[in-house]
Amino acid sequence: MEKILADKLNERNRLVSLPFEEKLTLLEKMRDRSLLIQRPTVVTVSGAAVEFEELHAHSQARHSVPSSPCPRPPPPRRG
Amino acid sequence: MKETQNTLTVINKMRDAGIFGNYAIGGAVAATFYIEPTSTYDIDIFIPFENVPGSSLVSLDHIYNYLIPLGYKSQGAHFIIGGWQVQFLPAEDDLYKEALLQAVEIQVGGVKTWVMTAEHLMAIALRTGRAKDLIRLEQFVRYNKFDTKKLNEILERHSFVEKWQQFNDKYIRSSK
Repeated sequence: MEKILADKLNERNRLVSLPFEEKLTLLEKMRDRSLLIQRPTVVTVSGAAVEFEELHAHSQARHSVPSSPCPRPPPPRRG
Repeated sequence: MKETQNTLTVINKMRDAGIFGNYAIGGAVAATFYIEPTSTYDIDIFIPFENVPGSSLVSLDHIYNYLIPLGYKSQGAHFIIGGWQVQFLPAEDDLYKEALLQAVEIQVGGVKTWVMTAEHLMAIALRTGRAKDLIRLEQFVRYNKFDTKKLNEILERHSFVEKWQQFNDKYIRSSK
């Protein structure tokens, strides 16, 4: 554990001592990575998990009553 | 770094065109000049405060009118320039005005620009006091990237001595 912490500290010290130009390159990379994570992802739902009509009804309710929370559809019944 | 260079080149052109006077980079990008890089989405550009007659608001019309015809896009409070979201902020009080006046000239790949001093960034972080500001402040202290005398003068001038002592008691002395 101490070695891990020491390595981290060394890495942070290395980053601090980098020339500003190199730090900016890192900033640009970090920014791009963050923006990539932040982008809305396409959610795919299998047809077996959610019945289409139910999903549609919830979608309609969400549009018609924006302030009301949209309840999650019940889990599919088994057996 | 190319993107940042492009961004700064555009900002320098705006300055040369008289859209604003001297400017200084603040926030996370400026702090990165002194301490370790931290993730940020935008570049904060502090510009001289110019009050709109009859209004308490600062007009960014001249910035908008310069950038939009050149094809740059605005997004909320930001303009997209050279891959960066750039926010133009007015240096509206004594601390920001002083930080702007005393900003340090540096070169970024041959492009001239100005960043706020470490001591001013620390004073601003202390005043703003969000979690990320306190982390930044702790890093300045940890890496000893400031001039104690200069910082003390700024803290006294802007009445932050007590706040600084509280910060030290809570985060610096307790961790030693």
